[in-house]
Amino acid sequence: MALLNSARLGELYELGGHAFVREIWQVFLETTAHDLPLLQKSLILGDLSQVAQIAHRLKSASGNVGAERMQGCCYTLELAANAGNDELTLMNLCSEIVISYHETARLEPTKNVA
Amino acid sequence: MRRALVVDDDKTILMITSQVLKNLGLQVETAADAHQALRMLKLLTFDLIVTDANMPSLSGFELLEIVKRNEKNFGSPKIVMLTGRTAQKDHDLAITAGAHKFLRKPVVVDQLKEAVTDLLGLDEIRVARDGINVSERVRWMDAFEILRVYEDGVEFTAPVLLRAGLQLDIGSRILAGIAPAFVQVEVTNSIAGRRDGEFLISAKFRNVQIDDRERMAAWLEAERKAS
Repeated sequence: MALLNSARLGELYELGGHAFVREIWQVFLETTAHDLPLLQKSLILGDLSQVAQIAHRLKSASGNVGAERMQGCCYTLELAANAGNDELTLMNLCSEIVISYHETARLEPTKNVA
Repeated sequence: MRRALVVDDDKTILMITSQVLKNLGLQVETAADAHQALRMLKLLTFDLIVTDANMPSLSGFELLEIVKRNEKNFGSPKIVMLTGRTAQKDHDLAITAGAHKFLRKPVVVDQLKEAVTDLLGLDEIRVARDGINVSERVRWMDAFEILRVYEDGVEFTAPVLLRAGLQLDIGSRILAGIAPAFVQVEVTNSIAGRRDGEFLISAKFRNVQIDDRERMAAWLEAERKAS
């Protein structure tokens, strides 16, 4: 799965140009940076309901800005948490989200507009 | 101008949905949760509410029920419900609760535009890629409030609310027709409709080159005073 969905970024560009793409990208980075530690904390505490809820929120935010790989990882974690999968599986999925987030955050969204 | 309220605990959704509605010429307020939405509903009347279904504390379904029970106070806004869940159950719940449209997240821009245009009767006319030309010099009513010139000065989006009775010719360039000395622009697509005796045009522009930003600003100011 690609890191970024350039067609989605193109849709955002059509809405408000490069400035809008940059603005929403920044909001995505900030809210995700806030949510990831909460996700890890909930996982450590074994609060799977909270894990699923945060994963759902991250899935939504990443999907909105076209962060496709991260969105897929969040979706998998949400399903796994709801299904009550074991801690190791959930930890691995959480790590994949963190990795995909950092890989995505390095990109310049306006250069990836379709 | 018609007013819309967008309710969601996800900031990116608030931004995208608001931008879509602004581009359609609506005045937009936002609320981060249903409680804040209810406070705003007590202060302002809305023609449209776009709300997330699943929010902490008070859900979109509950918000919908409260709005429906209080028509005397809140009026009868059209309601679009958004959800990341695909279950038929959510769809049925939303429609039973009184939502007029139900859309899935991530928001597909064209679907949202279509739903809102349909619900508010914007009488949409889709225009070809080369856009709309205003055949006479016009005075914008709300354009100056909406027009956003971005920091890099090379692009902007301008929903333009025009006076009634203007002759619109399709097939040329809207901004090039208005301010040819300062602006060169390619119109990618436009939507026009008649609403309450006014024409509403929402156009998207690409490859905008503002040759002289100072003259452009002076011209805008002069037009603002004239209108």
